[in-house]
Amino acid sequence: MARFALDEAAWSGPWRLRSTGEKALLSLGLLTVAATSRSLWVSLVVLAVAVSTALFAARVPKRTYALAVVGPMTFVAVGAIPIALTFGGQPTDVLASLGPVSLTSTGLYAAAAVAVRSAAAMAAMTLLAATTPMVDLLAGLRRLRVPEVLVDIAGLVYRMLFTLMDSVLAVREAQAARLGFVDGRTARRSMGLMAGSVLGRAWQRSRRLEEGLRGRGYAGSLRTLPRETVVSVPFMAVSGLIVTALAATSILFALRGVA
Amino acid sequence: MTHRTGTWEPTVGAVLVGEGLHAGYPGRGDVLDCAHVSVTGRSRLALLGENGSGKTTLLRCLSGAHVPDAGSVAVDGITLRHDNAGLRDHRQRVQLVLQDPDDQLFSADVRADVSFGPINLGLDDHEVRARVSEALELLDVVDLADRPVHQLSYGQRKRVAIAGAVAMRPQVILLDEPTAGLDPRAVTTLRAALDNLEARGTTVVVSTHDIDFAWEWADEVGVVVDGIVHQGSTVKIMTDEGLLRRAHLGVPWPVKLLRSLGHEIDVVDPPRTVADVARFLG
Repeated sequence: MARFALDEAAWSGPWRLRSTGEKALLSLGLLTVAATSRSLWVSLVVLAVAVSTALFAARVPKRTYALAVVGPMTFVAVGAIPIALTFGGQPTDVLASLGPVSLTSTGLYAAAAVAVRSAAAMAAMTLLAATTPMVDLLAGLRRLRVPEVLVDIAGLVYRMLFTLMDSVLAVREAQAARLGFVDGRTARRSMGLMAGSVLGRAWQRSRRLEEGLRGRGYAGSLRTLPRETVVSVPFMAVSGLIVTALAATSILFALRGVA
Repeated sequence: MTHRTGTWEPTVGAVLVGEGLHAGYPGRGDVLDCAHVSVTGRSRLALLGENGSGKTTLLRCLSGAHVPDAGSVAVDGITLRHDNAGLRDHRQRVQLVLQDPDDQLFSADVRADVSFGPINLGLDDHEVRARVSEALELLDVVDLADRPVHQLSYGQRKRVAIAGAVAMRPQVILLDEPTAGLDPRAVTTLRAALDNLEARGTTVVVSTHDIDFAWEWADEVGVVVDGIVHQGSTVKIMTDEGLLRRAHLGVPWPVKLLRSLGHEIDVVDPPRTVADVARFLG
């Protein structure tokens, strides 16, 4: 079967059996502080808390965690470049310049603030994603009264992703064995044929799945038994304390004008 | 034997009966052409036939998943109606497990998937949990309950798919090619699970290509060939070389071996396993 590292970490990690509410309180709390704080220092602390919690408390494999954040961080880094640079004008705090483009200390600080804030928010979200399997997140959304049809579709997409990936890998392997990727032209042709084949298979599978579900009494809802979990009061208390302390610090810094 | 013409009577004690079934698909013509089959309570029935012979179509007709062009299906004497109420009632008594478990497993969580059927029966959470636990135990997949479906082996997924049907507590469970794609160890585990189901009173019907499995396991065999079902005791049907040849099926290895050594097959207590054959040969 196809494997996704972040999904595997969520299923196999020590926080797998923690209630979704506990993990959501910590992760979403940190995310909120990171997204609303104007202080670079508070964002740095949120980043440090989220990363160290994921790596040391939830024991998410370092490589998995790094790979999960490196993609989005590349976008953040690219997006921060124009913030750091000033075009034209006569800035007073120039660190370096090339023609009309200057790198100023103000711009650099603003870019760093955006990048660190984004990184902190991302680290907080990754903490939740790397410790909570999708089925638990969907069960949580169901409890929050998110429309059932949306939760059902998300659940099916998640489940089918793996069977579809298996089909893609099998077809690709079969094509590669018959030199289907020997050059650019054959690779493009093979990819097109694979897309057609996999879409056809997905369609047929969806028909058979519907039949299988109807056999078990499907009548429009994919409701299943939610997992029973016990909420840990100490965990909630510590999480609440961390988030409250960071939020209070952020507000205090904002009131005192600390950047 | 079952014939296309003439009268046909289901066997005494039949719980599930398919009578005069005609079914086909566009471009393929009739796959079933007046097929009769009867499933006796607590008896093991194996349906044999080559690819495309109509085994799966027959199971789909018996489960209510396929509406036959003609003929009827009845469970406990109640004729299946293909409206919502009729199908709902039928599916509480008869469950079909498809060949590919991925056609049945929609949830990423094993326990959640098995709970789907009982929830649809409108049972309360306590009863649903009890049924899920029972099904997981019967299929020996308790240790997989909190594992994600996509991380299970093919054999494990097959047993979880069966557990999903078993949780409905049907009288009859129809298994389409349950041993296909399984290694010998997984087949042994599956057979133990089938024994558990029977011990609990569920009647099991299996469609298979595996003639040795059918010889060893089944009390009755139905060979699907030319759109009809030739049904009878395992010994009677599986020693009929003419029928098996017509159905492009082989002869079970004990039959082949003993006949090649010049022995007759005991129709009352035939040797089914290696140990039986060894004992027979003394």
